[in-house]
Amino acid sequence: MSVILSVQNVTVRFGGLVAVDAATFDVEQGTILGLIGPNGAGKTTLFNAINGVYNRHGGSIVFDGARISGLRPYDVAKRGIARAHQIVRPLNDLSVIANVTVGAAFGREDLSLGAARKVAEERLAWLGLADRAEVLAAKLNVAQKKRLELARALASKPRLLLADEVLAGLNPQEVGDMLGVFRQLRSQGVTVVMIEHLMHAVMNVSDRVVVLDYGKKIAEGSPQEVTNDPKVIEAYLGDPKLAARITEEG
Amino acid sequence: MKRMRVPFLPAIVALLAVLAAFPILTNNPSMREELFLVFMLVTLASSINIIMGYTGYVSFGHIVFFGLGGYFAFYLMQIQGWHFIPSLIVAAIPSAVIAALIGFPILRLRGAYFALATVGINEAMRVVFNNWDLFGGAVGMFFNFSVYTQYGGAKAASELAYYTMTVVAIATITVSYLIKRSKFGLALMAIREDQDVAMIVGIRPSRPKIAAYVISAVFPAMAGATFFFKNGIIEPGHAFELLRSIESLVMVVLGGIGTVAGPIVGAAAYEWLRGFLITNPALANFQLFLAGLLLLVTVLFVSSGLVGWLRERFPVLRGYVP
Repeated sequence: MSVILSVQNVTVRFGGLVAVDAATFDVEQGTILGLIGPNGAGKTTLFNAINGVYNRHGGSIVFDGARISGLRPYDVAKRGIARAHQIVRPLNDLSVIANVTVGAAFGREDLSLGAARKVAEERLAWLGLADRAEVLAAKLNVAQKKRLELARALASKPRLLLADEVLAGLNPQEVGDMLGVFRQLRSQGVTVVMIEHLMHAVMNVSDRVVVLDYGKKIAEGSPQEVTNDPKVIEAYLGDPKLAARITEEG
Repeated sequence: MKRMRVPFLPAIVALLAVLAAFPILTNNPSMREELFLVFMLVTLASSINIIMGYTGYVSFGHIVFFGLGGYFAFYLMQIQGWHFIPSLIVAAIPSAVIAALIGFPILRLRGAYFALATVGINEAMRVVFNNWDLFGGAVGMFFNFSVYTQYGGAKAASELAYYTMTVVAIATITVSYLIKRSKFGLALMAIREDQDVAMIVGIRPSRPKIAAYVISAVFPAMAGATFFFKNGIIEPGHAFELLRSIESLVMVVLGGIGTVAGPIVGAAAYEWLRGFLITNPALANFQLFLAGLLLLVTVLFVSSGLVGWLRERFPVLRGYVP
């Protein structure tokens, strides 16, 4: 196994606020890394640093052996990093198929329009949106928009997928389907970093888990190790003794 | 992105060609004048649509390129003694270069700031030409009547201008159509919908935006060259007339923003309406008022315009009308 993404001492500041504080971790190729932490822990900010939205950060980010810190988002995309947003951002006035074609046409592979459309059709079929292909993206419901967001990201055939809470707001059936997609991706050698609040889902599918709190990494390890870590319990529930008591009483 | 069952482009080109031939064959000069104006407005509206409809940048002062093209061509014909056709082609080049130079900084602005910047540029250009003696200053330039003899007289020159405007209009529509169906066009539309997302999926926005702006500047420059050649006189107030700019925006919105057919329909409908109002003694004074009212009603109730509304109402049309 080789390390595909290496985050070293990454720090993102907004004025006096340190949103991400010297975060350091590695992701091995073809694995799923769960990135968890309470609201405001800096998870999405870290994604923004990785894919170049905040390209002025401290520390360094190395993807596939090359430093990508400071690159603009379109250059990061060309290297094979795709992103699915927490708050879905469909291109509303374009059809569903056009949305996904955009992902295929301008990402890593830089395909022609015809070839991109073929990839898009394939991705839509995979994510169960084939029958909605010609509908305007604005007309989809939330669950469908989530799938569209993922389809657009996957259309670029990324080597690394940054999935930001793609499970939020889905029903158990839909969550199960999505986890299936992640497992399929892993079996194809695609690396996934997922931010997720649905604990059973993250713990179920992740190979490793990194926990952020107030911008700092407070724990890292297998799902099992992380869930038993007192610091993690404290971050989520406050005082661990209190937490333990609540759990017992509950 | 749509499967085309009837080829739109050949159909619309054939339609315009037949329409253009009509006043010549029936020897009807007033109809020819009317169509000359319609083709000019189609050119202006379709060009604005490339930057406004496809890319999402409302170019309020777009008429600046019409004026620049007119001035450069007029200079070549009047001062350098060039023939009209090479003047028209050469005049488009500095207009395109200026669009690229302007576009580079102002296309970084978003929304209303871009729109205001374009108005400012148009007004600034008018002042520049008002004070530039090389281009006749405030008085402008005008042809000696004898200029038209090399084209076989004023009537032949008028017809040459008419044919040229037809070709320019058809070229604009063709380019507009090809962009809409291309990967370049898809990049523009992605930028229009959400520039940040466009960047995240791998689109570098600055180049396609500047390219779209330059393309949208070239055709109005040619239309301006043709218009002022036929007009025989050019002066700053007429070349950089903001009202004409705003009218072109109205046509795009009226017909259907972001569609290929919309600006064509909008320009024809607007010009037809204006002709109707101006010749009606009771309504003549309210012409602009009614145009404004029409814009208001369109924006409020049918924001996708005539063509957009039809496409939404009858989805089957989407395959036929891009």
